[in-house]
Amino acid sequence: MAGIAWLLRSRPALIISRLIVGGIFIYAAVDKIAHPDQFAEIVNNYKLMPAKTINVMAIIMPWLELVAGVLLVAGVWVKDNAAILGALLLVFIVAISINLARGLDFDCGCFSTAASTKNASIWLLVRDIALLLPVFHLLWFQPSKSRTYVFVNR
Amino acid sequence: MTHLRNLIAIVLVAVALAGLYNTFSGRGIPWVAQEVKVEGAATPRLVLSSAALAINYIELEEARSKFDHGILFVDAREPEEYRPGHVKGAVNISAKKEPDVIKSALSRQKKDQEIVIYCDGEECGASTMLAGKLQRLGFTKVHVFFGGWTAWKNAGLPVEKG
Repeated sequence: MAGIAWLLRSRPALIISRLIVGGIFIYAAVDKIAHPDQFAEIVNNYKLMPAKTINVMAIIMPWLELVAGVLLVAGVWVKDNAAILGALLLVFIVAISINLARGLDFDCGCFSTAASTKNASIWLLVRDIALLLPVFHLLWFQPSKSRTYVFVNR
Repeated sequence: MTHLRNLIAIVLVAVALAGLYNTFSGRGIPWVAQEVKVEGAATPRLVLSSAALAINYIELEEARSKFDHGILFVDAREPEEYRPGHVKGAVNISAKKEPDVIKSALSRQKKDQEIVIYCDGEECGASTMLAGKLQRLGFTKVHVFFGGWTAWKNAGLPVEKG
């Protein structure tokens, strides 16, 4: 057990988690930023938000994914950015769960505003929950103050 | 406290970048969506972007007259919804398809020919989504039949299976 804790606390393991979470969110943000109108339609199709708030969400959410993702990869404010991306994942998990329970056919809009030939399924949930693991890893094991990163360190 | 300060800073940076991009990129959308009344429809149509505003929404009567004139109908639903029943002669192009797939499915259609798109009914967004993609591919006369499959079927108009 001590071995696993040592491994999780090790710098390479923390860097891998940072790259996984940050990289996936950067990738996910790019297409949504490129097509805000399509992303707004997808947010609307989730049928969860009041009409007036849909565009605000569609405009800001991809940028939050991108900014937090880039900072996480760069190693800036690791715990804070991991917390933000973790919170976004929780929001996605709740939204997908509600619509799966409703039996609504909706476009995930996870990575692309165009593709997703597959319909939303339980697989989306599994994927989001799996992505929470490296987030928790960072929240738990990332030292709050350390000199392991090149960039800002607070 | 540092964490709270950092979190606020990250969110503010994201909001600022989003605002700048939305204002200056030329791809921006209005911060608040417009609600546009569609004649003959119970619910107003939520128009999220200017691209969507350029889409012409039509109701049952107009859709029927376009059908009688032999204009192409596109069913934007998924194949498993299309197969059990759709507007007679309608082509199935799921709204989720990639632009190049959509393009090849409509290769025989001229860019200035009319197209009527529909999905389930007033609540579904697939037709609007597909209409936006068609506009970006250069199709200029795209209509969304707002009442969709539900209105068509209830009116007893020509349908087919398969």
